[in-house]
Amino acid sequence: MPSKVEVLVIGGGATGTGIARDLAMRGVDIVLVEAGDFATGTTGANHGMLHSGARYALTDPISAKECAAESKILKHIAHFCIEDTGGLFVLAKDDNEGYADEFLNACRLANIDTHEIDVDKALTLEPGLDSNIRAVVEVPDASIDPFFLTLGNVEAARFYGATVLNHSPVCGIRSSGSRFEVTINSGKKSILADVVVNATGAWAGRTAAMLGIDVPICMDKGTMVVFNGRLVNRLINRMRPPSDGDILVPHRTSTILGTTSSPGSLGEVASYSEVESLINEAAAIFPNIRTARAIRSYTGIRPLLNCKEMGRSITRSFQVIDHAYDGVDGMLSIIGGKLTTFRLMAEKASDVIMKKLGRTARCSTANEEIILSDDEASDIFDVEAMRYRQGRKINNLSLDMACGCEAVSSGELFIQASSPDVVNIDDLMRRTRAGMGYCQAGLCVLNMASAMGVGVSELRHYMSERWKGIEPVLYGEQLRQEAFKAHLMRVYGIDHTEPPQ
Amino acid sequence: MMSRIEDGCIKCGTCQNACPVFRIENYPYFQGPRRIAVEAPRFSRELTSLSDSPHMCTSCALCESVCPSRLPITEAVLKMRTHYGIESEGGRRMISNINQYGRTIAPTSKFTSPVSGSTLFFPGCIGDARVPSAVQGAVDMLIALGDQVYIPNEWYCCGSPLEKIGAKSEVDRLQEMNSAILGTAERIVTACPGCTFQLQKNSNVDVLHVLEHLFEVITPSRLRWRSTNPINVALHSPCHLVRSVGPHTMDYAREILGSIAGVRVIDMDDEGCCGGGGGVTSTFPEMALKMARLRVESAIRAGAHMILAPCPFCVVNLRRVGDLEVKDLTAFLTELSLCR
Repeated sequence: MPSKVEVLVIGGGATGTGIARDLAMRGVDIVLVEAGDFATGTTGANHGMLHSGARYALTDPISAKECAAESKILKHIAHFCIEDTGGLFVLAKDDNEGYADEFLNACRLANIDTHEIDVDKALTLEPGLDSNIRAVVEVPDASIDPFFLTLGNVEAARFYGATVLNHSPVCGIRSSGSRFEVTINSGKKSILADVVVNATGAWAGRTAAMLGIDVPICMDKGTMVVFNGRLVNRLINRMRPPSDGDILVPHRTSTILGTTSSPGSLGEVASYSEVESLINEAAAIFPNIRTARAIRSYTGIRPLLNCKEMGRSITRSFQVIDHAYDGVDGMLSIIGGKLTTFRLMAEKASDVIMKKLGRTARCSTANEEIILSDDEASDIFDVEAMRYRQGRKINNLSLDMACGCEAVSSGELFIQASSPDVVNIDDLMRRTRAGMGYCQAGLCVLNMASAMGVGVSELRHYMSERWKGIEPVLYGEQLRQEAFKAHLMRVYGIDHTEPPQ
Repeated sequence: MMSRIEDGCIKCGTCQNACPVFRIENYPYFQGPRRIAVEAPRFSRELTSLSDSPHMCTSCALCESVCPSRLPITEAVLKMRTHYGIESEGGRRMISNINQYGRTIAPTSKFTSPVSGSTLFFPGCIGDARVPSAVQGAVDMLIALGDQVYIPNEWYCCGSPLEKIGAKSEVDRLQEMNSAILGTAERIVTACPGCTFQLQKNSNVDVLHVLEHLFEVITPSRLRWRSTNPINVALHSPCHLVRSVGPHTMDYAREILGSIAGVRVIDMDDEGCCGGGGGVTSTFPEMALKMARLRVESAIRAGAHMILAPCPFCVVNLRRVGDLEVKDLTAFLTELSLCR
């Protein structure tokens, strides 16, 4: 690892890795450090939605326009992790009818390709919709996988020469002349950088504080519930001013219902009442949600900059803060924004950084696929599943079934486990989806542990962390699943419902 | 609470372990009942690569009989077939025969039988074309027992094999074609478990397998069998008879055989599928033969001189092995003939 670089990016979410890719493509000498694993903060808690912009057309036209343009670009450069399902906006029986016209108008103004379709046609496309819905508008929403998007950025940045490190927490930053000295890994390593970029999302306040800079972050908590299987074929949005439980996203082997919006703090888990209210709200347009099998919940923190207005009224557009105005020239913080616009944020931030470096190369991230995706289909299910996950397939793998829910072979597990980036079972899960299916790692955790070569204590820790997301949805079929899992885990002396030690 | 089969699974793996196809065809070529019926429908674009798996199921329903969540796995596998349409060569042949003859196999047999009466004997396509002795034997036996049995001049495939290859519209068409013919009978009897179950689903009158008819309608007290030279028979349990029509049918078979002096019923080491169901004999004949061989070898090991099966599909597929005589149970009984 270099000890002197032009730019050091802190934070390995979509934004940080997007900047790393952008700058590396411009030939900048760059290191990215991430405290945990990639995409484990706000990025990983994303709804999995590639916004067409329609959702923000009325309330936040700037965001809407950005999303409209960026989603088109991402469908091209990141199609390996996007499923272009399309989306519907649905007017519920008791919602304000006048909203539909305003909505269509606003979409037109934001350049979003929308058109109204017959309710009957919508009911054939999406048989689970409430039959009393009154209007339906088709929009170009899509489903995106935030983990693989971020990992793709990492791979691309490395390809262009960047050094990208996970599990490398920053423990100190200090100004040293016109440079910064950043120490990582409990002071074991320090790096000199001309420019430091704070892309730590919800942790941006803490990171800036290391240099004595005040970045007031509002923590807006959003909770989502994951249901087993594809309840819908396309994204279903409720046509009303953005509110709780409005959106169903078909995502890989599941459907994600979200989201809530309320003041929160880091490390919070979903509450029973949030889960209940999400389901009640969604039932207005999708009644079957009440009997669907919820398999887990998760929460994310939206880091928002303007604290005067909370929650949904704050613009979802982003800000690049140049801390030269705080007397610290060479330090930038990137706040806000959304997954759909991560590339644009990275471009804007990188433009500012290039100016600071006195360099001129232009952004080319919109013109090149993040990773070269393999479009040649396989006739083996597990290999095809791998191709849609990783963007590519590897032939001649051991195809023993390692995770049935997600069709992950033991070969895929072993290949991913051999990466130096992968240090624990969670890391392996994010790179393969093993453990994300309806049994919630009940069986594949043993295969993951053996691919990693780790023992019972790691296994116990992983299961306990998973449990935090399962407990809030412990009803119906998932309750049976967890009871069965408890018996299985007992064999290894593990109580998977115990809090992590 | 449970609304979809995908939601009821707790991943115990019992179905995968029980599946007789999974014992001889390796993953990932054959993906097993859980993958086909429960896990796969949760995917989207990947589904096109499930390829042969859904068509390799013999629809033996062992999976669902052992499932602790009682999930309708076989039905879900058939749904996956419908999802892909009819792909196999065997399936195409079947459809073409249906379009030409209204049967899955061109009609060949002429039976000696009345053409009207009260008990309609439904020969079924396989019985008609491949095991006519079972049909003629059953009719002869029932006449000898004084039953007003008849085979109608016209009849069409019951639809069961088409349902198993996912040809839903043909199933509906055949049901319509058969309705007038079958509607006039007081009772329908068949020697084929597939026909029995399929006709039961859409019929207002009683549809019985011939074993049920012998035992429940004619009653055992009227069945007196002549003794025979000592013979060890292995009694094969047809999956569709045991699990679709009901397990009582095999109790009847054992009781009937047990009452014949000279006949000794030999137990095979395990119950299993012969490989003759679900359309796999036409789509994957080699696999079907492998499965049949396992059954025949098991019977030989147990010391059987002959295998008896109350199902024409099982008879046809087990006969392909060639190492041991295989007979339809009804034909065997008719040959022994009844005591007067």
